[in-house]
Amino acid sequence: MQSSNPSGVSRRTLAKAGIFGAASAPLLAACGNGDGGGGAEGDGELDFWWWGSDPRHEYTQKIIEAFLAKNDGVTIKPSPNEFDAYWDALNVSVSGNNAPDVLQQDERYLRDYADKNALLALDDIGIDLSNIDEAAIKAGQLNGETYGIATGLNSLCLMVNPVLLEASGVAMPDDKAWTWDDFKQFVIDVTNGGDAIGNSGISFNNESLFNVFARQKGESLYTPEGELGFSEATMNEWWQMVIDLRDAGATPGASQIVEAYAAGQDQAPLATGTGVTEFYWTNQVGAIQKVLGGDLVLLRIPGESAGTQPGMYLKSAMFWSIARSTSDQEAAAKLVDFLLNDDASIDLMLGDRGLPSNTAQRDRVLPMLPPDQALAADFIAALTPDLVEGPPVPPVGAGGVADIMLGLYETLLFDQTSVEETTAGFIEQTNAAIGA
Amino acid sequence: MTETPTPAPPRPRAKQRPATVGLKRFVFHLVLIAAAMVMIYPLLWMLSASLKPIDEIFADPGLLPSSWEWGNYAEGWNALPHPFEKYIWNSMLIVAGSILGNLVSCSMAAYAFARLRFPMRGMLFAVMLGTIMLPIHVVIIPQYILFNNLGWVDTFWPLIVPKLLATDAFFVFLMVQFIRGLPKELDEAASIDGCGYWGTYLRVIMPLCMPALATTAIFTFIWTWNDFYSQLIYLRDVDLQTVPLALRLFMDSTGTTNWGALFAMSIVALGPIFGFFLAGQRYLVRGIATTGIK
Repeated sequence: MQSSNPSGVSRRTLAKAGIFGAASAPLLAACGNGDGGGGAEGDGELDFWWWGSDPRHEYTQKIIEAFLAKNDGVTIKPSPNEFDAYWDALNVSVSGNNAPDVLQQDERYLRDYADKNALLALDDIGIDLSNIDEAAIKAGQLNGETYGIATGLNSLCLMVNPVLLEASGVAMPDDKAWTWDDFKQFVIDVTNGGDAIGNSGISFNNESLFNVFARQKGESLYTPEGELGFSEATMNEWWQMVIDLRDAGATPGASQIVEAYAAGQDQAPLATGTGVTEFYWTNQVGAIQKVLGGDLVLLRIPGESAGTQPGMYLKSAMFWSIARSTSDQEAAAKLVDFLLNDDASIDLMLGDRGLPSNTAQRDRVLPMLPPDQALAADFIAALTPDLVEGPPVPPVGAGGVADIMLGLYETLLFDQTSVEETTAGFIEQTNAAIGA
Repeated sequence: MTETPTPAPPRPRAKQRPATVGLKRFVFHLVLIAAAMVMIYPLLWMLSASLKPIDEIFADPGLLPSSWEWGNYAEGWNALPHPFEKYIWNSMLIVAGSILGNLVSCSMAAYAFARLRFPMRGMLFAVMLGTIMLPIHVVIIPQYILFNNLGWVDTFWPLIVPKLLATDAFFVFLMVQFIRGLPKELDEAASIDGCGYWGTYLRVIMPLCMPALATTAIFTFIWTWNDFYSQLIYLRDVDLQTVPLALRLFMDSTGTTNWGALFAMSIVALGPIFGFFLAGQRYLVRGIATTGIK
């Protein structure tokens, strides 16, 4: 009887259907708007989409009100959503030639949508980019045109629970000097010294973390041409470290890792107080501290000073983009400009969409940040001088790479594939996904 | 007239041996209760999580909170762009429209398939059944484009109007099966008394179809209330969003999820569906038992 249940369909498969259908989007868009842009005479009605959870929905509404107070003749239809659902909805609406005018974008999907001709180039439409961090602008550029402007910046870091670390009797490492070998030894020592597990093992499948590892060796996950840019030896070394940690008992068993990963950050060992360390993005620290009910310490990724170059980089938390089919280009540009540059907007946003990419605004709001955002901001501020140029925009299809790496990581953990097979599998499947 | 003539089979009387029978029954019930506890545990867990402080929800597997956080309910009710009753109201509107649409249109289609003779009836019936097997992926993009061209995106129409066209083939099938089980002599008697097709449909078939109609109403309620995807696609405006969409607004896979408020509102969202099911369940069982779908 369940078969006709209209809600009994998995969203993942639907998303795929959406991508499939989206292939026709450029065609449809071309029919809808002769010049591809909204033209100067717009209707002043903007659909504005973003994802997040309730605190973000609340302050974004206030930003919209502040914007409307300064801009007569513009109406905004706000549409908040949750991350996964957001992409399902966006997929269908872009395919159906009804894309939102102003939208949040993510690094992994930016090139997808830009290549589908769904996004407007933001370079000369009246958005003031003079104060925006140059790295943040570059992160949203494809073929010399800007399709997304970073809202703010994040960095990967190793979060450590200081209370559990002290209980294990191991000293806090010097994160400016430590190597991956030091990290391995550290996690093993912490596990042996206390009741909690040294590392929860749920981030080794994060392609961005591996990217840091590869960059430290002078390589990179993707090349600017959109191909894979690392050697097999590098990835073998990565998986070998994972296996070594597992065999030493410094990460949980394979099935616990898979379970903890599926349960999400709030139910993973670091947040429940049963794990001492894990790699996360700096903007996640507030949420994890809240569930943990205690403070965390942020450390740099190991190996930063030992390799040929530092591998860490500032990632754009998310981007602002404008749809090519927008009905009012001028109003949309005004809204994005307001979101990026206006005091009223940044006062409400603070560090929630990453440390603001507008450097003048960043300096202005630093003292106003709540403690968890200040922790992340200080970490990034101290880190920034030591960084080299960030990685290129990921290729089309990169949105699926996280799933590929997760799948292979799990077979590796369960000993179904060897280190070399896992690497070969990743290269093969990723090449297929990104069409390299 | 609402009962259908299904004679109960004669029950074989067991020999009365009170002591052992009592013991057997006791063990039997014990097992049943234990199984019921396993089934209901996730629900109890959700109820308890809706009353816990956030740092306790995942860290402490016990069901009893250390302090009772009734504030989760007040917070959840007001945390989103609109107070929660707005989302319940929107959901109710869609559910009411869907139930009405399904009851009217599916019963008409079913009557036609079960009783009327018209060309290509068999083939059309097969086509109708075939739509049950048509995955939603195939139709979602064309459907969206259609409704977008009609200007119906961001209204309730795409969710209600299709129901008026008997697109839920499952319910048509359910009622066809039910109507086929009704004695044809009743139709003939009605036609002798002067009823046309409409009269037979309204005065004879519909009153006898109560169990099937109730089943349709209940399932439409549950499925529409829980439906996420089509509401996600068509209801973008924050003023039109429904309960399943609102619950999603609490979640952020990389940021702060307000779990206490989320679980509190999930409990609230269960209320109407639980009430409707409770009120309608005796029809539901009867409807399923008499339609031949087991």
